[in-house]
Amino acid sequence: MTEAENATRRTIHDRIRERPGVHVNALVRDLDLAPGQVQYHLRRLDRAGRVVGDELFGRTHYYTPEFDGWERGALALLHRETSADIVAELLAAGPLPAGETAERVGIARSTCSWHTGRLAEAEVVRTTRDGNRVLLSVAEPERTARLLGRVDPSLPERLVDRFTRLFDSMVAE
Amino acid sequence: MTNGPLLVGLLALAGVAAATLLGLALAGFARRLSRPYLLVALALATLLARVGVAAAAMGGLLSEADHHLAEHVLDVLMAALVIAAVYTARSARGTDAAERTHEPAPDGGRAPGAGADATDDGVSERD
Repeated sequence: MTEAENATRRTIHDRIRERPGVHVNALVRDLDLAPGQVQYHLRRLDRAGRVVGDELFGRTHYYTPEFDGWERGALALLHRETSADIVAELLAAGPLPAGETAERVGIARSTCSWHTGRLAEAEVVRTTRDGNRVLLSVAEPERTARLLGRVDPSLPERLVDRFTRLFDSMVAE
Repeated sequence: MTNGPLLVGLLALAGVAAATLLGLALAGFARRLSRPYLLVALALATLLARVGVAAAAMGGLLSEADHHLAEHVLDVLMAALVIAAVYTARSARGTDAAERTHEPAPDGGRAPGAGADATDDGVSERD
């Protein structure tokens, strides 16, 4: 392995440690590397057990090995600004009914519903019945709060999230 | 053309802005896979097509008359697509609710005829 290769691989590894759950496109964009180059180094890092790739929600996210399966799923979702906002609100004031959660976060119900659906699938958010209401709460508050502190969505991720928020709120009831 | 460089600059700017918007709309569609998102992405695609038409006219591939007609056809198309997106946003959600057991309703009871069930379509599938 040449010096330059070594440095590139270290840069990629550092980036994954800084931004657990980052996906290949973001690495290519942020580090200004060729996609093939990133793929090659990721394969080598993966084989050496220094990073873990997880296929979640249609794309491969990369993590350092310190995160378990549940944490990897949670991090991938918390990269979505709106999901992170919902989880933060539930951590602060949960359990809350779905409608009130949407209201407090300031988003349309359809937006809230889409995000909480994914969060519940990943067991980040728990739903409990209270009479005929469904309450949302954070399944593992301490672990989730710690993970929430590790995420920092990239600009394109934020923009996609805000686009769907805007569109949903424009056509909402 | 005296304002050539200005026009080229404006077209380039419009192209970048339209492509960014279209990218966001397509990413939104990839997430939701719903008809309103597809329609709004197509509406924004007409904005990019407008830039393409203008560039073709500048390059002499389209006559002035054809250019003019194409721009107005794209305007009509965009308006129609946005109207369809807004319209299907309501009916898509209606179908959504009908397919599921719990009708999503705001707990404040703002939706007429809705019960006190505070579940939502994403979550109700699992409870």
